[in-house]
Amino acid sequence: MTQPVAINIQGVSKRYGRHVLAVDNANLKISEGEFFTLLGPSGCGKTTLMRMIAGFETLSEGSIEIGGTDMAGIPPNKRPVNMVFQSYAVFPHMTVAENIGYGLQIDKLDRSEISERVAEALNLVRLKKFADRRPNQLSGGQRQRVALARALVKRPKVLLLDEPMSALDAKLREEMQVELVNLQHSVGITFVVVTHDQQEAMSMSDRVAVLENGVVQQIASPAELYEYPKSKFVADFIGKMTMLPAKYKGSGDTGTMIEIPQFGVFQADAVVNDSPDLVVGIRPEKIDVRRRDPGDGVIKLRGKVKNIMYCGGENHVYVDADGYQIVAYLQNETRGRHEKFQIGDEVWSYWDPHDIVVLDT
Amino acid sequence: MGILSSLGIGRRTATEPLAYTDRLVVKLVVLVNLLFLYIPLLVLMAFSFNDSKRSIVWRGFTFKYFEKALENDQLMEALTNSLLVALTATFFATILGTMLGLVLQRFRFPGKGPVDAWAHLPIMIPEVCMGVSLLAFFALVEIPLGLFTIIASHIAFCIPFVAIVVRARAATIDPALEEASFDLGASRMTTFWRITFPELTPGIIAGALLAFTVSLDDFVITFFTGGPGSTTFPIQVYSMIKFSVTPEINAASTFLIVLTFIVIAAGLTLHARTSEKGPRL
Repeated sequence: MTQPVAINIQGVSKRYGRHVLAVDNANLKISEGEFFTLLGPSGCGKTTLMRMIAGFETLSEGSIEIGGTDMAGIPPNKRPVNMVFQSYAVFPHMTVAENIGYGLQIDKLDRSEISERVAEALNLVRLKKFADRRPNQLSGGQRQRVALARALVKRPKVLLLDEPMSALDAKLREEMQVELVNLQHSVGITFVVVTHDQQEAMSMSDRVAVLENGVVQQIASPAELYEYPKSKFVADFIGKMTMLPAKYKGSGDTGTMIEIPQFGVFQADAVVNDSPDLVVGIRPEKIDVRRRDPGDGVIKLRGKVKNIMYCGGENHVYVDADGYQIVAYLQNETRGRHEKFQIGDEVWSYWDPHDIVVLDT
Repeated sequence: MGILSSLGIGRRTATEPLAYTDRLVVKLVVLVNLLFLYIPLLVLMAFSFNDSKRSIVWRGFTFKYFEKALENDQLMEALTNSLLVALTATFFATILGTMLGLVLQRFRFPGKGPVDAWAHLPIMIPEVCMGVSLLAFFALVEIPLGLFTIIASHIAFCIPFVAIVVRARAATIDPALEEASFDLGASRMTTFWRITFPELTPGIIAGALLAFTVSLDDFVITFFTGGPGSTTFPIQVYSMIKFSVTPEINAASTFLIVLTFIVIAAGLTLHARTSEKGPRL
């Protein structure tokens, strides 16, 4: 990371009362120009963390620096960040243009400069035609763009977005994800997004911080999170993963020896600590299913097809291997391929040993 | 669907299960209610134009009792007093009630429960009790009874009406609006005047209207807290009908009804214009 740090969060905790620890010792460095996502299930503390950056919540411990300045004691209206709220919070008694110009009016800019920058912002979010509309005449997606423009027009160091897509329907959500990334590239401002939607986090972010119960579990790029999750929680929260119990059998010359029931011992690339009980995880698209024995060089388990879900581009095949459920996503590369298996078929599920992740239980 | 069946008359057609207003019984009940409420008012207004002293039998149309009412100095003074009291009390009660409503909706503070209950006491306790207690209070602090004491009392019992309405309105405002304003650089004060206040306006108007009408027709508390030279309209009317119900009173009442009607209509129009979703009172 050669980029200068936009937000430096160090040892931040938030306590409510004596027993609730909403955020537990969070340490994050968010670079300038980065698209950073705080991801986690509801109640994991991601929104609290964002509200602490914005200044709406005080810190119980730790410090937050924005652009190198410690934000302790600085109220939200004096911070170089702006926020897009989950409800968008577009002022209902103002027109679109008035909403966008509000923050500039507060800053007491010249009237001509305000109208210039408002026009620029309206163009940016493609709402030029709607400048004189009232918020109740807009759709959810348009309201979201007003909220975006209203925050961006202030040219903040950091833009905070709280669940920006939650009020949109599925189709619009996908469009706005692309649009948001394009917008971020064109304005070059650091974006920090809070979301519970892992697909959204994966598709938009440069880096993602996964939170659980107030603890930051892993900070990594989407690909790294998916391919090399560091804990069962992250593996399970981001995408699907087949998990098999495994035993540590000592370190060999070139890796770690691991035993999976019904298959036996194999050598894994990953070097793990020597706790005896482990979990081996495999992503569903890395698993293949066939009737014939796949031979050597792979990890294979024999089982019965329990369920097949036709999902258009792929088939989700659930195989029961003596009580362990294996999920495989098979591409429907040619027509009719999805009819290859029937429920109850005896099959082999197999995968390359390099594709596994080894996790602590 | 034909007009008859849509009115619920004629062949019994399958009505929507929740379309209560399509049922004849419901319509009749509504109609009877409206008649019960408004016929006395209409009769009162009609007989103010009656050319008869006894005001029971219709003897022809005249404006003379309006003239008489206008020439009746006592009645006019009472009317002026009433309007003065109602307007002043509404003004102060609206400001104080808005503040109270906001505080109760927004903030948690020690002793909030008692304050909440206490503040709404004037609505619940019998007016006589409130009248007596105010009278005792004014006697204790030796304030001479008059318009000032009436206005002070009216402010006191109008505050909770405003507070209730404003509080209900405040509860519908997305708290994120104020946070957004704060986030965009506005101070607390600017946020209040530019965001919170415009959003509260429909509630404030509705509360003020309620306070105005409650104050205008208050009898009991005014009776206890009034003094010489501070007779209000309801009290003046009461003292006049002790002798006889004259069309003069009808005329003055008609004037007051029309005035109230205009104020409320104006208020509702304003309310509808400031409120996003149209009037709801």
